[in-house]
Amino acid sequence: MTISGFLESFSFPELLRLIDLGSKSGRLILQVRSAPNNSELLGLYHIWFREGRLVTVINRSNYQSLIAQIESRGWLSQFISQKLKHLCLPEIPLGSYLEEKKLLTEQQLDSLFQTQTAQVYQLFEVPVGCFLFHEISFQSNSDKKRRIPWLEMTGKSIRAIEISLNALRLQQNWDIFADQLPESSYALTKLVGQPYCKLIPLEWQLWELANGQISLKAIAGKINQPLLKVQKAALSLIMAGLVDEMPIVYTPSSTKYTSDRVSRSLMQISSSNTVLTTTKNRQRHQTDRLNISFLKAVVNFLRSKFG
Amino acid sequence: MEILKIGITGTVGAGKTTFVRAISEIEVVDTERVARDETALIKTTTTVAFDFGRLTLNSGQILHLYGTPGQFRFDFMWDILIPNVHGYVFLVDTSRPQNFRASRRLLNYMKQKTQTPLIIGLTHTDCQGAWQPEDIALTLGLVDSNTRPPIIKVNATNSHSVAQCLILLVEQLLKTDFNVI
Ligand SMILES: Nc1nc2c(ncn2[C@@H]2O[C@H](COP(=O)(O)OP(=O)(O)OP(=O)(O)O)[C@@H](O)[C@H]2O)c(=O)[nH]1
Ligand SMILES: [Mg+2]
Repeated sequence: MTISGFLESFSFPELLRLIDLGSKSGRLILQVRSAPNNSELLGLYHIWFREGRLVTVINRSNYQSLIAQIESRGWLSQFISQKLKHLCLPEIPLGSYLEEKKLLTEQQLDSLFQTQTAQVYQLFEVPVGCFLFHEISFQSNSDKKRRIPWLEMTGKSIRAIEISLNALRLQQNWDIFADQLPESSYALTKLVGQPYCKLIPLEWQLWELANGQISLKAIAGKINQPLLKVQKAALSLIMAGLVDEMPIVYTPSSTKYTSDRVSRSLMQISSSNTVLTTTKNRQRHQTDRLNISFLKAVVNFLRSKFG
Repeated sequence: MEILKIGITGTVGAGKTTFVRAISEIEVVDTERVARDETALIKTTTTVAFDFGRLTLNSGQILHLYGTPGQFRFDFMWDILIPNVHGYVFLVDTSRPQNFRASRRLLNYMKQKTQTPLIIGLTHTDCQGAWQPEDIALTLGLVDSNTRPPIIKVNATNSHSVAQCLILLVEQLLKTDFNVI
């Protein structure tokens, strides 16, 4: 199964959200550019995920293997790293193997993983590019072209949506996400019982007011923060899969204006009185209840007429 | 007189008007207008009021279809439509990822307003770059496959395919006994 598209139409954080929600495993190939009609490539990345968690990032346009990175930090002798390159690892990440052999510490692996993920955070500043995600199973993978890059893995991982939350907190260039900010008239609703990670104070305030009723504009007023800042934090929480945006249910205050427009609209539909009834009459009309036999007749009718 | 009222909704260009026209026995009232703003980038005309379609089974049994406009203002249109239909088809253009978030927003809104049964109809699955049903479900926020509404591929330009989609919705109505006696 593959997913492909352009970052301009489906943004990087949305993509991460999809991979996380679907607990997907596989390789994301990302080609980034500085502008839509600029053919010059800014970078080519292979980002690997295992059950919705990022496990490694390989910079194909400026490739340095994990072994070379360890070597350049002086953490392994050349002798050992040469041997590692030819070692046939069992199906485990290189980092886990080295930790098990007491050749690297957990702190060292953390630091290596941070260097890998730092490249991903930079991708949030890139406006255009295209992506291709291949689902690839980590269990007994025999496809040579899609071989799991165990030698590039530290054994560390992070949830895809947590990357978005971290990255958007540090985001400098908001032009990229300007048209993605939730509208000021929308409310937020919670998607999970509890946040899976630590929230900063502003995010906590939004989280606590995410009840599907209060608009972002009203929230900004309530907590005395600029609306734009609230919208940005809201987008972070949405991309982090913690809340979702919710257009608030409209209840007309001036019924006159509404019912004028309603009746005009209804006249356009049909002159018969069997069409939709207006909100005003809703209590009296209610949706008519249906007979099972009628529904079955509809099915038979559709089958025979359009079979 | 027994009338089954079905709403057809979804974001701009999902195929709502085409869906209603594919199956209606009467000419669908033309409420198409020249598209403006962002919509103009997608298509030249857009629906500004309901598309009304009808199918007569016999003198006492009728099916009504109400296609909504795709440009949402979350206004009175929804307040009339939602409480009055027995079920609705929620159309998603699978080849247009830029609309997925707007689809999710609309679906959130509908689910908040009503318990009315719905099914998801996936259009443009024959177009280049179309996404798979499972990925569409995830982007719509329908993560749990056990509780999500039924999802069906539909070609809105084909009356047989549209009929199959409506049959699935009616079967869903029969299952959920919402408003059914
Ligand atoms: N190839 C293909 N084209 C489709 C399909 N469904 C709809 N279309 C086309 O998509 C275009 C847009 O369809 P409309 O019916 O106008 O969409 P709409 O949802 O009514 O759009 P708005 O009223 O603007 O919201 C039309 O040219 C249809 O012929 C499909 O499944 N496959
Ligand atoms: Mg239309």
